[in-house]
Amino acid sequence: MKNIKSIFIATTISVLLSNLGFGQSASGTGTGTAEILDAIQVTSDQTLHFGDIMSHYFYPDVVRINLSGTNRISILGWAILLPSNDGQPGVFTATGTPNRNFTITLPGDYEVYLSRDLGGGVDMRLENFVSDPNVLGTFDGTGSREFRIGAQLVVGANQLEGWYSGTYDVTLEYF
Amino acid sequence: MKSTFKILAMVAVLMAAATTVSAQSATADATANILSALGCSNTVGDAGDLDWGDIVPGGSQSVVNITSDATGTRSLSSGDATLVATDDGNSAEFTLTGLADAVVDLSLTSASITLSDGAAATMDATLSLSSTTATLTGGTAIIYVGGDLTVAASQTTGSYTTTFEVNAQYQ
Repeated sequence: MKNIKSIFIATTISVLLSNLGFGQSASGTGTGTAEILDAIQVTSDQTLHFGDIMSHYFYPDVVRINLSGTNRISILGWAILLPSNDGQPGVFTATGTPNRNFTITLPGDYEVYLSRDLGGGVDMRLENFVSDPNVLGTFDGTGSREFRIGAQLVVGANQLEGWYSGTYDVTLEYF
Repeated sequence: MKSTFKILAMVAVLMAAATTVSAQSATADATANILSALGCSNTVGDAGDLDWGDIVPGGSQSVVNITSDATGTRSLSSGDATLVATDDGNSAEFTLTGLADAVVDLSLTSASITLSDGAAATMDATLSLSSTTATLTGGTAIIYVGGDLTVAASQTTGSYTTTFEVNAQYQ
């Protein structure tokens, strides 16, 4: 009888030690993730053009290229907008990762000027850039999105005739 | 008087027997240290994941680092990839639970892991722990995992993922 008791006690101790062993260490599983995006690329499909304009001899004016409604208007009404060229908004196609959002950053009011190609004259300033989509866009399911740019051109009084041109930057970033 | 004598005799015998047993015994302490079961769990949700965030590959191979601390700050260690701000990434967070003030050793089952886009594309990463030991202050400790992700110049677009394991053991 005494021997039987001894065996029973030994078995109990063994089980307790086994449970204690499991509690001495532990493991946790984590997840590592990363998202690789397509580089955003922008191509110009159409130049922003303010068309043919005849400036007023005494008064300056502001000519706007709209993105909806009337394509081109004179804000102050002094300049004559010639129908020989009605102007057009800038059109771009952007590509990136499908269904991702992006922001559009446009130039400020004192950053872009058009200079007379033949030299001389006074540079004309661009202001009030607008875009469609406005501020925020989304790439479609194929990773493409077209957007348009409008702006206002400040035409001086008796602006020297000629062809004026310049460049402007539009920045797209994932959002 | 006669009865008294018998009683004394019995007492004497018992004492003698007791003396005999005492000479064969020894006293020892019996102790046990019951430890609280050690737990190691990954924080649920995005904050628990080791995330390198949104990346546009560059023209050369790049390495993106996530610091193995609470901030999980992301930086470009080498190369010219663009780290896109739409997802700045973060370090992985694990919670250890167990005996108050106990010290545990920490390790990674494998510091080298491979993330997959679920198809053929992969990216290798090397993990780092915030520390190799931790003290369970109040029975709890928080540890972090960061690491370096290698992004190829022509890395395929997509979501990459994998799992890794952190081990903790009482010292």
